[in-house]
Amino acid sequence: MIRISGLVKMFNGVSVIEGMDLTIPTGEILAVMGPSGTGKTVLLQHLAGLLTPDAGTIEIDGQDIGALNDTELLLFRHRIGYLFQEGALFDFMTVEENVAFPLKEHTRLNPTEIQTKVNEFLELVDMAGQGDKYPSELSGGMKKRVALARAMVGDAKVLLCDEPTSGLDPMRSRDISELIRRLSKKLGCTTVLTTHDVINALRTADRAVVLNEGRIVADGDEALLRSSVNVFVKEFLRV
Amino acid sequence: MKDTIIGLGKAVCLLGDVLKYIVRGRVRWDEVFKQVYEQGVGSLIIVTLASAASGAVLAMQGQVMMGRFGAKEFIAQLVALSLVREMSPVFTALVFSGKAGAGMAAELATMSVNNQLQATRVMGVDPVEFFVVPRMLACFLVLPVLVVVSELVGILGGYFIAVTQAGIPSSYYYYQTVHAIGYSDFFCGFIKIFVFALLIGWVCCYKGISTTGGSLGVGRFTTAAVALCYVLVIVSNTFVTKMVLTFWGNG
Repeated sequence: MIRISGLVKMFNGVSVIEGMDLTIPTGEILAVMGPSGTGKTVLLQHLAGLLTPDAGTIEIDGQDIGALNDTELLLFRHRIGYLFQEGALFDFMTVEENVAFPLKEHTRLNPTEIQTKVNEFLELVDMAGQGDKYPSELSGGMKKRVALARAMVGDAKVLLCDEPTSGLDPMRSRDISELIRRLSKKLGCTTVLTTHDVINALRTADRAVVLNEGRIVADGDEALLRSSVNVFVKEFLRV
Repeated sequence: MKDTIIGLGKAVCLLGDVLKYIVRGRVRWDEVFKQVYEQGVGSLIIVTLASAASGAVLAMQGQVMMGRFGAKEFIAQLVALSLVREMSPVFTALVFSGKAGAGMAAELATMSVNNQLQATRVMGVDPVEFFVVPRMLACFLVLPVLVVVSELVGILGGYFIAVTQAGIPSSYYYYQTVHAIGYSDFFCGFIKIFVFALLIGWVCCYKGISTTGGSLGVGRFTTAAVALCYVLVIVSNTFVTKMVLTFWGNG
């Protein structure tokens, strides 16, 4: 379970997240929606321990991330899978090497076992047979699939996806959204995805929150969000 | 001014982290050897050409200047001592900064703006351990070898001019060269290399991993890294030379 209490973050005196409280039960897929610059990525970076809150706490499975030192944070992140907006694949490694990276770093699997697991995850993301390619030879959608395989191959308990559909055409957006849902449910991950793509967010998530100026202005399933009387929420969902 | 002080503090912290990993033995030697290959092979041809030309030019100038004093037969000593004590370490460090240093900075800068460094961190691996330590260690392994190559090739360049243009007998040139260079001369030049290796590796890696601002930032930070390396190599050379001359002045 992820529990966020009173989270505050400021950059250069400007408040980006203002006293956020949020609980995400284990196994749930939560979409964090909102226009650009409302603190979605900042929230994800806090969940990955990449940013330190100015106030408030973040607990993942009962562990307060803010209380961890650098070494403990590196260990904690073994449980986190992070899908970056552009994939952030290592461009000097092949697809297979990228997916194998977390396994080589954090497990004692032998090369054959690593290869088997890499093949299994590449198949899960429909990238079987593409292992020898370099990221520069892949399309945007393929990169995201490989990045998703890399994020989840290490048995991540929490999957964080930053704008998973950005830069993709509507069909690829739908594919990657369905893939995230399918994989999250299959592997039992708690998933948080940030997006401003309402259609795919609601297609993927069990629950969604809408952010405006660093605050949660709506929280619930699709029916609840659509019935919101908040002007901003109505406008955002309509667009 | 404030940004400069903060930047300097971060750079010192980076060096501290690098030393921490080396002291703890957490060095990825396979990555180090990859970097040795990339930095070494990339710089070898340029260093060879620059050194051969430097040795040849030294011999040409020596022929003219020393000829005025009737001391043309000491061209070999002029070439050998100039190269070993001063020119090869400095020239090689400058060439290395422009080739391998720029490569390192640009590579890390690209990774930084494409979130690859952050991705490494998110996967529970410190980018300093994975990317910076191997690159800095490779500088310490590659630069001394390049300097020795530069010295040998430079002496050969001088030999070619001395023998073909100045009419110095081949065996005499060889004899003069071997007897001109003492251990202290070699050591005087060599001690500088380790200072240069530290500065180049440190500056280029720090600038690379601190890059922001997309592709524009990659260009800006890489250029800044190379320019800073040039300045630091030249300025530090003055201090190291003074120190070396103070302790081993007459060599």
